[in-house]
Amino acid sequence: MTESFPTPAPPIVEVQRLSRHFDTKAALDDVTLAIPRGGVFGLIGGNGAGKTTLIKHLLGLLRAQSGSVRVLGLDPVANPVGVLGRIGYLSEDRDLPDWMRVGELMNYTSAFFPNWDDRFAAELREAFDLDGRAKVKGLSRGQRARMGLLLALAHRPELLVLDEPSSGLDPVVRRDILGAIIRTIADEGRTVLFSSHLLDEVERVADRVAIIHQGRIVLTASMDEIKESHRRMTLRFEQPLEEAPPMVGTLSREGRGVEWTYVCSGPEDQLRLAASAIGATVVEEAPLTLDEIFVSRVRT
Amino acid sequence: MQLHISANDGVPIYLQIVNQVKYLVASRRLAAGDELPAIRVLAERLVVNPNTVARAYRELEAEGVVEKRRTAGTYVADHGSPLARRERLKILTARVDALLVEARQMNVPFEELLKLVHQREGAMRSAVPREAPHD
Amino acid sequence: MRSIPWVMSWAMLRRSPWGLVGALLGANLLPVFLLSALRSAGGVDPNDPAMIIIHVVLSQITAFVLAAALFGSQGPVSGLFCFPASTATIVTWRLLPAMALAAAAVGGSTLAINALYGMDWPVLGPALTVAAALALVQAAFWLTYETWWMFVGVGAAGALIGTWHKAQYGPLSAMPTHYWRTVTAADVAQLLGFAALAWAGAVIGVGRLRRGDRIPSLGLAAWFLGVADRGPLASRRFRSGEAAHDWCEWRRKGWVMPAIVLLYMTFGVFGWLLGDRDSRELVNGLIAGGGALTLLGLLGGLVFGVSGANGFPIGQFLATRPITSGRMAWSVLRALARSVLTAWLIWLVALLIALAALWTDGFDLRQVQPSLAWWHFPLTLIGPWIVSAPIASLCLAGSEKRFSQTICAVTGVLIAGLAYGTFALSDEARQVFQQLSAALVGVACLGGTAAVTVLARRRKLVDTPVLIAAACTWLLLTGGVLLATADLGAAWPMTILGSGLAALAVAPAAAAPLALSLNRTR
Repeated sequence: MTESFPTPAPPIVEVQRLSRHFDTKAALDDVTLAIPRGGVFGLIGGNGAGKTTLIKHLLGLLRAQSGSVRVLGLDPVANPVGVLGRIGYLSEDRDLPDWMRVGELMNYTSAFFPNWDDRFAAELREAFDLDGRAKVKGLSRGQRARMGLLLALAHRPELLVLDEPSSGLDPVVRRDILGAIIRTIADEGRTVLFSSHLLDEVERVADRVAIIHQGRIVLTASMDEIKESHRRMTLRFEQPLEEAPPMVGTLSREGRGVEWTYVCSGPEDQLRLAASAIGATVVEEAPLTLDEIFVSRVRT
Repeated sequence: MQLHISANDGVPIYLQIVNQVKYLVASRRLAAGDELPAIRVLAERLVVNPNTVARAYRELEAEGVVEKRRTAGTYVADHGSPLARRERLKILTARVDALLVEARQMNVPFEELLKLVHQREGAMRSAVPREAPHD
Repeated sequence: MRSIPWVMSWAMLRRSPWGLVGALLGANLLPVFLLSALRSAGGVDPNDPAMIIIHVVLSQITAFVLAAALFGSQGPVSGLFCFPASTATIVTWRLLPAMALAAAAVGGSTLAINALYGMDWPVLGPALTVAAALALVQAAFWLTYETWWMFVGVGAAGALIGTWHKAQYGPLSAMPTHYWRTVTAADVAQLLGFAALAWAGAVIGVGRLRRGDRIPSLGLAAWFLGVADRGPLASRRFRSGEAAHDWCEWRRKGWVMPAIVLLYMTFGVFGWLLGDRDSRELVNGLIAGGGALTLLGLLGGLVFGVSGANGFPIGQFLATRPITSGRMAWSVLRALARSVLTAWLIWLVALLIALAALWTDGFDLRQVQPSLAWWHFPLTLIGPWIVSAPIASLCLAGSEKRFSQTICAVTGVLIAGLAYGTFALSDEARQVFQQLSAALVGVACLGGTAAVTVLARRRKLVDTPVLIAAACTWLLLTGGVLLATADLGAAWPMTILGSGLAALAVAPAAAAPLALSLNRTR
């Protein structure tokens, strides 16, 4: 397990100044991102923020209009076999060949991956309660997600990419997916990239997080850094105020009268100094959930 | 060892683990020499990142609550060691200060606070409450 | 104005207005083209009895195209199930506006043709019939929706109203003898009867769908699928990803062309057994069927070229298989070739059996088909390939828009060229024009193949051995074309055309990988 970031090893994913336009709309705007080898990387953003577009670039499904993409040191468009053969991917739309049976689909997929582990696949099929003779078309939404997860895991990929793995699923299946993520990185050196807007899940399992908003990376940091550098401070002023004064490091503020709550980012002592500079005393201070941090980051 | 992690209250998850293990040790539900689950096992059970569990164990070790033995296991430390005791008193001093400040801000007289401390101590002795206090 | 009839009519018109306009134009394209051709070929006599059958067939085709467009523009009825409206209301206002519009469109089209070409085709009867037909087919569709009976139900409803329509022009079993001039009260009553029947059926059918009931089933389809599912494939292991994908393509799409050939042949043989059982008829039919294999290639190309679950785009699952686009495209081509070959072999075996029957009856093939030449037989195999493989490559590019644009452009140019040659030129000039066009088409095919190959080479999608093999195949085919044109005594432009078509046979080797890589990486 990697214990600190950044690791000295070269990043498993390296995106440099990537931009992508669909018609006139910018889906990705000058994105630069490095995902270190090992650990869980959470890509968070609202609907239409560009998460799926970014992931599609990593898989070579979209050609970079400008900028460059390297996955495992390779260009995914030029070398689909080298990249895709070492990636496990669960797509957001859970696209699977409906007409196949579960067993057939496992056989079919195994042929593409030299590292496919039959015993592990069979174990997963048991654990996920998938019938080998069942048609993929007839699987429920949760079973379909499990099927996709099985196919993504059974060749023990170096990089597991999950695009919105939890959306629309019940808590039991969600737990299966999170469990798979945890087991995957517990193996030395393997990496998980997952996008989500269920931020409590991201907070549980991610080591590092990138917030993407309107095609731009707003923030990339380790989960610890993010948690430590964001806090909610309730300030008390001498006089009731109509409008709270701006303060260095503030992401959002609300309240009325003499007490105002600021969501801020920065070292604690500096924030306290900033508070006293605008004539307020800190009466309460609390850590923020990733959810709150995300909302305040994206709103500004 | 039963821990409950919530990603909804903002307290970093490693800190939740640290606090709850400390609490279990203080309330003697974990005795000196008890083995803590392996990092992987606990991570899968709590559905949290193994690195987070590892960090919590490191903190606990640094504070002298647990100790790593050469056979890769993590065990609850013996509480008698004077170094650990000094450390613990240091932590407690900070907590007591915080408590006193809050009591003053809420206009709770010192005597009443003291009574409350006694009361909680009695409650903890008789029946161990499930809910771990956060700081 | 906010009432159920109003919003439902509005939704029908708003869903795809251009589709409806396109269907209206498309439905009139064939009559206009045909009548224009007839007029320029020597004028149209409205009283010619042959015009009656032309009218009957054309009005049925027009009705079919318009009804299909209206049907499509209404979308699935299930979208209405959550609204607080009774099933009867839904059915009534689904059917009535569409029926009225279909009747108006057919009536209007006929009026326009009458005015343009000085015809006196009946207006009211066909217009009323199309309304009833629409209702009947809709009802049959809803009654049997999502079951295997759908084909039977919709087919039977269409056949019923089509037969009834034809019966208005004379005895059912013979050529039509007269126009349907007056719509009698009895006719109207019968059509109303059809409509009422359709309405009742539709209410039952939509009610069933709304409740989610299944229709009573004999279990035949389930039994058949169960037998088909007990295939040996579930535990088969593949040597490589390529082998796995070969299996995938063949298993999913390979059966379509052979199955259709088999089906048609079965129908044909049954018809022959019921008829006069003349072995010469059988041979003639099979020789004609060999030519029809090329038409089947149109369908085959579509089946093999459309890869994704949602149509033309390949879909994320296939796109993320670790296999090069070139290899995946070759898998498609291999399965397509296998499918074409299987269909052709079925036809060939049937033909050989028929020839044996002919021989036992004491006839010679030369007597039955005096103009048949040696190249007919390889052409029945290469023909479907030349049609299907380029169409499949075009579809593999993954853009429905690009595909329809290309098809429209090609058809448009063909029609325009034909029309120009037929109407605007003298006989001599027409000859020159036709030869010139043939040469031009040939050169275009050759140039297109070369361009596609260069592009694919630049993207490293075609290896040198493949290139050499393709070039050799093309030379071989061109040699065959030279022999055939010499046989026919055709002019040199036809040789160029033949050589161009031969290039189309090998172009997919580069075009399919190129198209798939465009589809995969957008």
